Amino acid sequence: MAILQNEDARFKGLEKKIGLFVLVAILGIVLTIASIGYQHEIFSPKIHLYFIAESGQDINDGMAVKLSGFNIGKVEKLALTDAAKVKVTLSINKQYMKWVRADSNARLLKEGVIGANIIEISPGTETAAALADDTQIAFKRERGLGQVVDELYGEIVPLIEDLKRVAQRAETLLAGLPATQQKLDAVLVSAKNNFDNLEKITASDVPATIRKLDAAILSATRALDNLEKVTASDLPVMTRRGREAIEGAKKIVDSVSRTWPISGAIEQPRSETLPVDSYAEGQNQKKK
Amino acid sequence: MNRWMLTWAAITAALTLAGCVSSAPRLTVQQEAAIQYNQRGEAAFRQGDFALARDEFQKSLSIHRSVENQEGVAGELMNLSLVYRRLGNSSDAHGALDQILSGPGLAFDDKQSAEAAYRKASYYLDDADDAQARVWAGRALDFCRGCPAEGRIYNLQARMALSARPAESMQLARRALALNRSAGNKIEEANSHRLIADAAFQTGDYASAQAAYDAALQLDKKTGAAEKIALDLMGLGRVLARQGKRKEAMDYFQRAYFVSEGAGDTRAMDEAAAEIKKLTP
Repeated sequence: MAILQNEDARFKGLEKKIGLFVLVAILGIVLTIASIGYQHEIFSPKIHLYFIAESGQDINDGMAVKLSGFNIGKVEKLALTDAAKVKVTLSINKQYMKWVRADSNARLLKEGVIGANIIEISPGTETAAALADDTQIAFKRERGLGQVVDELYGEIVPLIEDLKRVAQRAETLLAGLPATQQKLDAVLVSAKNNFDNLEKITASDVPATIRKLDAAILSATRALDNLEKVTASDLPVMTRRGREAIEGAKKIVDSVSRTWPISGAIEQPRSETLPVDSYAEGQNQKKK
Repeated sequence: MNRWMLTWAAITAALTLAGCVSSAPRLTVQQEAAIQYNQRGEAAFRQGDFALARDEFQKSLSIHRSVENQEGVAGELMNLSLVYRRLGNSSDAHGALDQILSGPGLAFDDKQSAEAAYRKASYYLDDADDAQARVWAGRALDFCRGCPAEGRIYNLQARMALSARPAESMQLARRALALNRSAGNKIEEANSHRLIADAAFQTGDYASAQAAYDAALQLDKKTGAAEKIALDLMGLGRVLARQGKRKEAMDYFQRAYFVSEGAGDTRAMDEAAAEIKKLTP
């Protein structure tokens, strides 16, 4: 081999060339890996937060963790606790931790109606404390479509039953409607006939009646006028004389009634005392 | 001559008649008003409007007091007492009578005090307070001393003794009967007969009981007291039923039922119906 190297000019500096080639290849591979890692933010510093869920249903490793719709991390690990609950550890890029605060909470929800499940972190308030590594945050599971449908189903089924009953009643009512309509038609025809008759009667008799009434009212007004004149002048005098006459008559009657032998036949008015019977058991008590 | 004699005879007769003419005492305006209120109160009482009766009697009482009419005041206090009783106000009922018996102001005579004490005894008896009833009946007799209420007081005492001491009740009722008959008080005379009958029934002397109930019935028919007639008929029915005369007894109970029905006394109707049911096989 050494003889060949020494004899062929193409082999001159071959070791250096191969070493350079391998070095470039290795450098390319490293740069590619570094580029991919950079793109996947493998080299970004991370903060780990966790929450405890009743169940790990719909939560998977690598599931996206978002804040205001922006990807800020992923689900790193799921583990079962001693209390048979699920501890979900989130890996969140440190640069986004300025929006994740102590009053932030995590929610499991679905992106769109048929989208993937994600963990949504709500932005915390600026005044709330910053979160350290391996801190627990609150978690809430949003109602899924299935749950919503189940609830709606529970409410809609009785509604449908009610609608069915209403429809049945309406059907029963409508069944009798033609007969009612016929009766109404008959009533309306009868009413129309009555009104026609009334119109005929009023057209012929009412004017005459009104004329007679006018005359009667006029006559009554005159009579009242005359009566007013009479009462204004004579009635007070008549009343006074009548009273005097009555008083006089009363005096005479009183005198006569106190005179013998008439007084003996007229019983004088006197106060009565209500008797209390000796035998009336319980009769003196209030009647119930 | 004859003409002159006739003239003198006519003048003499006219003067004689004029001498005979006398005027009955004229009522004062206050007396007339008080009597009117009293009569209105009595009418309201008979119609069962006890509140109105109370108001009318109070107006009458005020007038009597304004002229110190002792008799009128006593009468209206007794009326008010009965009205309060019907209104269910027993304390005011006794209070009105106490004004006659021990109240300040006007001094009432023994006759009025006897009547007031008799009424108190009657109220206590109706309230089943036998001890107080006996006390007040005794005081009524003490006040009375031959007053018109004496027969009623003995009747009341006979009623008090009836259930426990029928023999004593019989004696008291007989004394009451004599007094009431003498006073011409038909209602109380009938009560005396009925009490004698009740006492005889208690002692098993059915013949005397039947005769006494019958006497009471005759008197009650004269006074038109439907309630008492029904009581007499019920008594006769019970006497006959006790002697085993079911058919005759049934007739009396049915008569009692019809009398009570006519008077609208449902309680008495129920009692008669219960007796009829007992006799129905």
